[in-house]
Amino acid sequence: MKEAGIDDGDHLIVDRSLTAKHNSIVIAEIDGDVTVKRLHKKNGVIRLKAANLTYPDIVPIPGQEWMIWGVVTHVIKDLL
Amino acid sequence: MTYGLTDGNCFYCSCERVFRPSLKGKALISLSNNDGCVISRTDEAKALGIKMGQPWFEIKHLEEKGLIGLSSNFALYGDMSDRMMSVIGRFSPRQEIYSIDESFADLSGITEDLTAYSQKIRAAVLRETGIPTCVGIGATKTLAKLANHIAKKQPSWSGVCDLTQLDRYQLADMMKNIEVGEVWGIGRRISKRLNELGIYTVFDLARMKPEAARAEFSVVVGKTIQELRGISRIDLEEVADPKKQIISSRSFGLPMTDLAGLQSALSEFVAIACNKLRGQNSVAASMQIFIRTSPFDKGKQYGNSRLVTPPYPTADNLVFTKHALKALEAIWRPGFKYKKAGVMLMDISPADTVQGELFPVEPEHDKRAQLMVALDGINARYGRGSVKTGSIGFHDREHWYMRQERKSQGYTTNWNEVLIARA
Repeated sequence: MKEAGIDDGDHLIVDRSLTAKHNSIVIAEIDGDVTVKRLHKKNGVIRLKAANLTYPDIVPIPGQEWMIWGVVTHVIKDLL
Repeated sequence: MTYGLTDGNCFYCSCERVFRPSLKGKALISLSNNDGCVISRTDEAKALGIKMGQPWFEIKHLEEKGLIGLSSNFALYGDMSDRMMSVIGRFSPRQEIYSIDESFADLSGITEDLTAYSQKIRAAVLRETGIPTCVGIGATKTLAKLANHIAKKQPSWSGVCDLTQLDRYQLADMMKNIEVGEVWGIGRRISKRLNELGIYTVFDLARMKPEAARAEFSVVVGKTIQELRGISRIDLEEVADPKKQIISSRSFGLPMTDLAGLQSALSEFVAIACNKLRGQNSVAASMQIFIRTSPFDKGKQYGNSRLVTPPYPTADNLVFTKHALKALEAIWRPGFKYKKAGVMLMDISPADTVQGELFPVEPEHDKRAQLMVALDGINARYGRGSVKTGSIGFHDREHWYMRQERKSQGYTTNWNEVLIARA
């Protein structure tokens, strides 16, 4: 998630009470996995932008369960 | 009066599922200390025929069928409970935290439809904590408990059952279909005796004369009957069943800012809680302390809690006080107006095996003696070697007194164990 300023090993502050909007960085549950992605919500189409821009976006496929776990509000970086 | 009882569905398992979504839809159970027996089970585990209290060794073979058994993680459950309770607390001016996963709320002043209101409570708890709940509403605490039971067992209620909406005939029909043993405060022994008197359902009990019940059983049963008839009579303390958690907490009349004030308040809460604990002849393995500012205060907000675990389960004020004050020092921050503080004794077990003085004259000597008795007692109960003495694990206390081979992480209480999200 370099484009969002998130590096491997960073701590993320997540607010579960917020509603995810277009371009929110979210923690999402997809088929039991927990992942951090940028949410795209446009014209009723929802997709999760992959970390690496060369990867395809993730779009819901039938039978797959998605849940937005929370919205990332802050990033804490380890400077040591 | 109108009471709402909000209760977390298979609470311990639900806490685990929040942080491990892959456990959703799986047969999951949470095990008591030393991985002894089942203390929480999901519907899927129930479908495998697993009963509450069943020993782990009896069902371990079901792992082949997908059963997942986890050691209890009270640091996680206590913290999730704290979050859940503070969400519920926003919905009522008066809240009584009855146990780790149950909270009564006074809904008397709520003018909107109570079912819709309770759905809002459920939605807020689910969204903010990830815990699914059910809400029962009734004119008394006993009826709210009963309503909660109905909401849990009958999916048609969509998680909220409001008994105040029913007329007397509908309520009677409902009560005729529920066994008397499901009533709050009616334990197994009393319900067996009630059955002998021809009282099988909640309806039968509600029709019994309170005076007769008082004479035949106890004052509590008499009051329970009145409660079933909609007359509010029972305070939490009057229910005689041993509690699984004991909570002592209070909102302060005037907010406290200094550490000394909180120290004295918490010490008192510890004394009250330990007194109740001894009153039911039990010991507790851990205690959670919490302090928080008022959510209604316009000023800066702060709240924190911490689980303390003495080296052995005890009912000793001195041991718990020492730990509580240490934990308080760690979470207290200057510059806040604290409005509420409290302690919750958790993981409570009977004191049968622990003999000896509860108030040692020479603390160190008697503490040690008590420790030994406790060790012997726990070993006698859970098998030799469950508890090892000595300095083997002094640096890692959890390991020297408890077997928790299947424990999940401290997702919410330890920076090194937070949930990892992949990019």
